[in-house]
Amino acid sequence: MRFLHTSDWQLGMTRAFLGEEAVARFAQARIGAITTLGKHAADNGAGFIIVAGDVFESNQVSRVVLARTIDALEALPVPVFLLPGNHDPLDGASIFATKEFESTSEHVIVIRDMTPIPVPGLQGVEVVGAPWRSKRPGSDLCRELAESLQPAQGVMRIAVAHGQVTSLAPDTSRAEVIDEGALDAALAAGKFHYVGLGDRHSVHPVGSSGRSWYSGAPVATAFDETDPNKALLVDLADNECCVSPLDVGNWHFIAAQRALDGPGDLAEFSDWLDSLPDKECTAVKVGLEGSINLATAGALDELLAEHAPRFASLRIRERTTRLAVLPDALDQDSVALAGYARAAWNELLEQANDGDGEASDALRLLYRLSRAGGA
Amino acid sequence: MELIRLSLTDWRGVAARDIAFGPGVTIIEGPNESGKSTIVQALYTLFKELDSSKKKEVRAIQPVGRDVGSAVKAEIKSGDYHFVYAKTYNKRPATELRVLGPAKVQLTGREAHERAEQMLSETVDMALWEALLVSQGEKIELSNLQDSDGLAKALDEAAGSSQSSHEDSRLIDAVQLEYEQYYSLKAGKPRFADLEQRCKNAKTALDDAERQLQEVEADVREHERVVAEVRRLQASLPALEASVRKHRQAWDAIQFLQGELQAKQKALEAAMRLQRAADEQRADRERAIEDIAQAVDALGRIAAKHGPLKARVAAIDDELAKAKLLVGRQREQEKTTRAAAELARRDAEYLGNQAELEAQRRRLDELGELAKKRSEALGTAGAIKVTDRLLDEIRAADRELAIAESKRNTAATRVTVTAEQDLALELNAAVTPLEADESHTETVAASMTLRLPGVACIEVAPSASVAELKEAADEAGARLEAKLGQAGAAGLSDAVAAHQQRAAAMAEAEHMRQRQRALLGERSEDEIRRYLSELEQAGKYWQQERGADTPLPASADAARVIAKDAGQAYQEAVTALESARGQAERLQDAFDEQDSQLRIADKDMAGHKAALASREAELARQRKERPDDVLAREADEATAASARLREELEGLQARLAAQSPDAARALLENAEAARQRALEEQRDAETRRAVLADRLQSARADGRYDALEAAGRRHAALQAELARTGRRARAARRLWDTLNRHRDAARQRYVQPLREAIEGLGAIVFGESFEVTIGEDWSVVTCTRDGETLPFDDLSVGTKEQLSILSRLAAAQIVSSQGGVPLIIDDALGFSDPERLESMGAAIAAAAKRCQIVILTCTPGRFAYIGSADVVNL
Repeated sequence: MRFLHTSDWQLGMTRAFLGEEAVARFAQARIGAITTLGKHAADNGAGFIIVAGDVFESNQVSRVVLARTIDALEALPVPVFLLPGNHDPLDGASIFATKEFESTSEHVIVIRDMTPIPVPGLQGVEVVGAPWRSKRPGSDLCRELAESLQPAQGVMRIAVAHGQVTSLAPDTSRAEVIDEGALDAALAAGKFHYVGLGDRHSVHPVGSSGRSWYSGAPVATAFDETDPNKALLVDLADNECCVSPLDVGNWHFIAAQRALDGPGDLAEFSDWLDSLPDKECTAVKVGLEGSINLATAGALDELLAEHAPRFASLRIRERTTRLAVLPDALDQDSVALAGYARAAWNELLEQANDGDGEASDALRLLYRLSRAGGA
Repeated sequence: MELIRLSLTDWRGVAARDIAFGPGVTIIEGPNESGKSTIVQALYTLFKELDSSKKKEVRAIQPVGRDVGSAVKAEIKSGDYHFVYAKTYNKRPATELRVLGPAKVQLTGREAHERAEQMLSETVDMALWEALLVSQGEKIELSNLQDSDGLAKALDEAAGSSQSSHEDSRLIDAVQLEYEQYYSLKAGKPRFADLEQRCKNAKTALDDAERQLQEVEADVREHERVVAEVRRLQASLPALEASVRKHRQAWDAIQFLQGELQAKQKALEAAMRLQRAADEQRADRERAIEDIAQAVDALGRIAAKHGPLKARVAAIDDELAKAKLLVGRQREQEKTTRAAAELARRDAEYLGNQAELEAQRRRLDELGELAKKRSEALGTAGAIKVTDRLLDEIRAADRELAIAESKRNTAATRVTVTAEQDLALELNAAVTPLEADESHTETVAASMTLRLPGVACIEVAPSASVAELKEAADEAGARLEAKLGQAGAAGLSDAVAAHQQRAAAMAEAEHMRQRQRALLGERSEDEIRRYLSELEQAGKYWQQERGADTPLPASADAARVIAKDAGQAYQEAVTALESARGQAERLQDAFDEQDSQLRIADKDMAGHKAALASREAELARQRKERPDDVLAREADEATAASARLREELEGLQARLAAQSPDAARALLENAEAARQRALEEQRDAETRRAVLADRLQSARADGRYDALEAAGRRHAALQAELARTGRRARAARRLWDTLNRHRDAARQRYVQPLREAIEGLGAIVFGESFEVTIGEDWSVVTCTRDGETLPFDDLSVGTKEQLSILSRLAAAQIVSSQGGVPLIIDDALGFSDPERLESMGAAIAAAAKRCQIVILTCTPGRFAYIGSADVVNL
């Protein structure tokens, strides 16, 4: 029996550092991932799809996002089980309570409580989930789910849950943290045969059973994700569970740190940027460290200006950037200044050397203008 | 640059002109409109305009009404270059350049123009050249000198600095351009306020979107809380209901007990009413018995007082009888003494009257005597006829006779007979003896016969009147005689005597009457007689009345003594009677009082007796109806019954108290209130839940999240742009400021040589004490002459113009050694006086030693003071 395990679609998510054009594509890519998943299901003979929480980025996303999502879901070739997570809990403002969700086709199933749901068209398989009812559930929903169930008899039972597990939670004292031990115990007791988890945006196994996994997000969302853009194809038999990741998204968030101490480093940086694939779907933030002269600084500016339009986002990461731009003899030689202009140059240079950023900027401007004038 | 020669052909109003300039001052003289200014303009045009130019200014060069080309040709030395440059405009345009040195070249057309331009720009600063031109009516200040590169360059050189000024100028232009992208040039006001505002607006929008999303989140939390609240309230209800039921049961039991208690209380009240009635009856009976005893007591007390009262009344009655007897005796005594006193008094009166009687009788006798005497006097008087009136008539008649006789005698013949011896004269037969010597006179009133016996008889007849008078006298005599006859008197004297007699008798009579009246007093004689008879009558009566039993007192005086004594005795008897009467009256009063008391006491006693009797009868009747012992038994029984009921009631009360009804009631009420409150809260919470649910429903997929994200992106983008712009702006400003600071400092260094040059030339015009201060922009700021310093603007127009020319001369002087230009002064110094003109001439001459100066003027006199000059007359 095969199915797809995915989570954290975060539909409607945007990123502040993306331009308006990139944002639109990013949003469309997330919707498109649903279609890709459907294709994967069909290609791999998966009988259904489970989405382990955070289908939507928020309960208050726009009708556009909702409508397009519904359309994409309706187009899926197999049943899909949607679990409300911490981003889209089944609270008073839940997006799953909209009339759009009340009139979906039978194969679009929202897990609204802890009752096992038979998978339409499949004998002996049921899905059971622990939906989030608020952003702070105050308890380990997964444990509650396990406690509410008897061992499955004659059916394959797939559990769907959302949240951090004890081994990954920074703060295990929080009530909603999922107890891995309890999870393993429930699996061992035959209450579930597989636990599809969501919340973590990277593929990650949980516990020791080999039957509980985080699928990761189908489309990258952040710079700190290790292995996004995946979904899991789960091949489940009575005593065997085989999990294989499938590629889904092609968005990349790259945070880099580079040394820049001369034209050579700048050339390498340029090459590196050139080498990145899927540039239009790639957001790069780079921290630069080092010391360069005005000529190189000018070249850097030009380089960035030239590359920026090619990427979804290309930014200098101010927080990790320690780049000193100081004129050297080469710079001096390349500008012909005399009289008071020379005096001004000298004054600014001295101030820049003392770490005056504004003086440094003024110097760069003087450098640029005097050269432009000479050219 | 040095102008050597200038030729014009068909140039505006000038048909042909050829001017050679000297190396120093060249004065071109000519009237207005003679084309002086055309010379300057021709030079400009030559330098600036292509021969093919179709500019308006260029077209205007063609002489009016002549279709000819206008040609200009100039021979110029500039730097190392020496060339002849010529252009023809409008008609058959042409350009020709003949370079004479350093290398000979000949060029035409565009090439020639460009080469000339190159040579000029290498060696001449056209801007400076324009700046140094002083034209009529143009602003005579030095401001446009600042931007002259040539001047700057020259000044820089003079100040001992720098090399490439052209570069500087281009750089500063670029920096200024950059600066002006971000700030206004003059005020330094940022130009990106709009961006800042947009960034601020984006922040507001972001906050707004954030708040809107937070509102939903708050609603969601509130909704969760309310849902939990409803659930909690629902869960709490059964316990509250159970509590109400439990307390209700306890309270019902207590209420049942309270019902019993009330019934018992009512029974007790009825028994107590019965008890009170029985007690009252018994008390009434006892009171009746007591009342009778008291009445008997009272009657006894009344009787005890009644006996003595009666005795007292009898005693007073006795005394009263005795007093009345005494009054009787005293009354007799009074009567006796009163009779004795009366007798004595009347005896005394009688005796007194007898004496009076005698006295009166004597008075009457005397009165009789007086009357007789008076009557006699009156008889005497009566007998005499001569009354007073008659006497008066006689007297009157006598007087009348006398008067008549006198009248007659007066009128009648008087006959006097005087006797010479005794003789008896007979007259009218009446003898009248006359003694010797005696005479008798007769009046002859009537015929008279006088006879003297013896001797003669004489008849004498009277006259008629005498007869009348004699008749009157006779009548008077007759009337007198009549009266006298009436009086019985002979004559008047007789009558008078008689009258006297009558008066005496009358006086006597009057005297008697007087005495009569004195004797009578008030009374008349008849009254006296009546009184007398009354006295006599009274005396007669008293004698008859008193009888002769007791003798009369001896005298009136004795009688009076007796009467006095008897009066006294009578008075004593009266006093005694009065006293006895008073005593009797007092006793009567005492009797009356005591007697009435006795009567009241009698009545009182009778009343008491009757009341007592009736009460006794009533008591007897009641006793017969309900004897005393029956009443007592009934009262005791009623008391016992109520005591029993009270005991039962207390028992009930104790049972009720043991159940603590107040607490039970409070518990029940509280339980009900708690249930009610829970219900209300549940209702409220459900209402709230419904409201929230409704609101949240519309918040589902309402795009607030997207709106927030969009606002965040927009804000981030604007903020980044603002940061970038700000950074660039600050860099531009920093560069601009720094550059300007250094530039100004450099310019400050140029100021010194310019100032020195102006002061050097100015000393010629304004004296050795002349000083100026120069601004950083090289304009004259102040001017000091003879110790007085004035701002440039306060100087006179003439001085301003002179200073302006001096400044140009100074500037031209400074730049002359390095590509200087001819200084063309177009009709200046119009405001200067002759003395100044002289000194200005000297200054210009001094300046001309270092640069070429061309002066265009229509008033040659102004510049006559320039010592050495070439003069061109047009």
